[in-house]
Amino acid sequence: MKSPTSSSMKSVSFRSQRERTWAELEDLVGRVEKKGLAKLSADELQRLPVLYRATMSSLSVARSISLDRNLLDYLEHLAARAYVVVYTPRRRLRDQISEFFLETFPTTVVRYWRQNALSAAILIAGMCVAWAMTLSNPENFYSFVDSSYAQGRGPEAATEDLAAMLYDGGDIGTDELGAFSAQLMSHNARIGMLAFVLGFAAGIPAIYLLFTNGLTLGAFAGLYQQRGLGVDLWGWLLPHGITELSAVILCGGGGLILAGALIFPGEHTRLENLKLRGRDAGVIVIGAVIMFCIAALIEGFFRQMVTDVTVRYSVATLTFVLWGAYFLRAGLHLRARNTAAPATTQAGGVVAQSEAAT
Amino acid sequence: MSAAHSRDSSRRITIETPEQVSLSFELAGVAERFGAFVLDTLIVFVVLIAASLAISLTIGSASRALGAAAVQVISFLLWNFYFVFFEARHQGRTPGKRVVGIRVIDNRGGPLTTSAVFARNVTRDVELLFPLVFLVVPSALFPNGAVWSRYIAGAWLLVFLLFPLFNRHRLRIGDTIAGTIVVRSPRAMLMADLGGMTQQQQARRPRYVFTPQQLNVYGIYELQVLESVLRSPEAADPGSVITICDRIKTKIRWNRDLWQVEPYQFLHDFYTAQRAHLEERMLMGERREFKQQ
Repeated sequence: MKSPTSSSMKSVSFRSQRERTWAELEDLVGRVEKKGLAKLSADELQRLPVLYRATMSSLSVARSISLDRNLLDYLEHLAARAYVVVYTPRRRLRDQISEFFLETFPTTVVRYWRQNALSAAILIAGMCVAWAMTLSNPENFYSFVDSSYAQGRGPEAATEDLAAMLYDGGDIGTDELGAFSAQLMSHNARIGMLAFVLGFAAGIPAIYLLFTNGLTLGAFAGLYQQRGLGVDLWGWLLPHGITELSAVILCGGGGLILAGALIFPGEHTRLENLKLRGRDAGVIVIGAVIMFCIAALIEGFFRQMVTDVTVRYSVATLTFVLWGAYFLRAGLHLRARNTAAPATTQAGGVVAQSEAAT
Repeated sequence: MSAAHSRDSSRRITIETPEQVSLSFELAGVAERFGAFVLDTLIVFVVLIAASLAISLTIGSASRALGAAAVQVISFLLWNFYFVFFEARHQGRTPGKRVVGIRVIDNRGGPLTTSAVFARNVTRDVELLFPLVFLVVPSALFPNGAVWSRYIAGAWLLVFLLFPLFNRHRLRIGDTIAGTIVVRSPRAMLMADLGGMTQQQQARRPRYVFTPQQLNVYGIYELQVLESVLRSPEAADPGSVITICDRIKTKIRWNRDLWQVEPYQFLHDFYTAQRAHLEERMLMGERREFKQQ
């Protein structure tokens, strides 16, 4: 019996027929890896997915007909490199950014409204506790606020001094306001990111952070109100506070999303859940970091320069209305999409009853 | 590259692409990842120092406060967005990762999104920086807290730090949250097909012919070991080629009358015949991995 000769080997002729496609893909991929997709010509950009699919099919064929280890390794590695290049999001940065702020971020916030509401509730609970206790006895102030943080704004301070703090700053130069603003931004954004990350530890640190932030706020509110400066304090706080506290709440919400994924895994495993929800939580936190920057700008410049209570309250209202409209719009979009989705299922005639019920 | 090492399944992850072809990637080791991280951190620091110098010479000389603010903003942006920027723009590779030869991919086979990149990087301070600070100066955490609370917090942070040691894929918490994984950048060269023939070889082939019984002795594993020997520099060493040749001849009961062979030619012919035989059987749906016991 004659043993088959090499020329009759399918894997050999297969290779010699396809080899050129692979080399072409390897060259393109190598160039993209070095210089980026932008450097490819229009022709090459069109060629890339074609070559990629051809190589993917070569890999499948090679796996079933060839025993040449080097060939299999080569194809697998080439396919893997090409896959990473082909599946890189190719949109322009500007489009990505506008999509993020007009669509991804606000809708994700609305989609996880439960966690965000819970986060807000924890913050407000902390505020209420410290507010009520400081109002009934100002000495309690230091149970909630660290003396280094209070910087003399404690119950021992005279009412005039407390008031002065709220209206100081009209004479500070823009440079220093800028510096103050920058400091606020990096500090607050760090706290926000921390609140999110700590959600991983079953949410307890996130809850703790939210609650203690609420306590500090409530203690100040209580103290100032007791001195008859309540209106002034909120006028000082709210113009940037609306944005800043929303960002804190969103970061806390992001932390609670992670915590929820761990504690109540539902139908997935805990790790899968983290993967599924972690990105959404990440989206919320990126948006929140931007909100911190906006808040820091308002706080650093506007608050120090404008001391008129009416203007302060108008700006606070304006930020509230703007953010409200921003998220409301996303919520309406989301609802529109959700009602559109069942309509298509109905058209497919799959489930009409259950959709109507929800 | 040694075939046996790279095939170790615990060091590989298989993902399915949208074309439903499964691709396997080799996981990056903890040491490689840490090395890349150290490189990137160095780059951040060098850039930061250069930027601070430039600022203090320009803006800083006009206004100290504004200069300080600029430095603060830049260090915030650099530290938090250096990794995000490069991983999002360069297919999961920061400059450090590029040097080491590793990259971040999505572990479900989808595209690597910017939000995933952000999620995996935002956690780094808690995972690495805080635990290290705690190990060096325990009192830096919670400076106003009670001593016991410091230790509880410290223990908690150590869980973050050691997390990669307690899962199969050596994932950091950031990777777990983002659904990403760090792999070695694949690189392999296509070498000449051993089964193919140059014209010179064609002229003298086939010199050694094998019976089906002889070709039934070995399996795919042995075939590929032989391939790696023929491709390796070992093949240039006549001593080892003769040894392998003798082992094969004994195993397949090579005809005693024709015992003297030209070793390299013999191995080459045997490889070709063996591969043709096994590939043909594979097409018939009969895949034999190892030699007969």
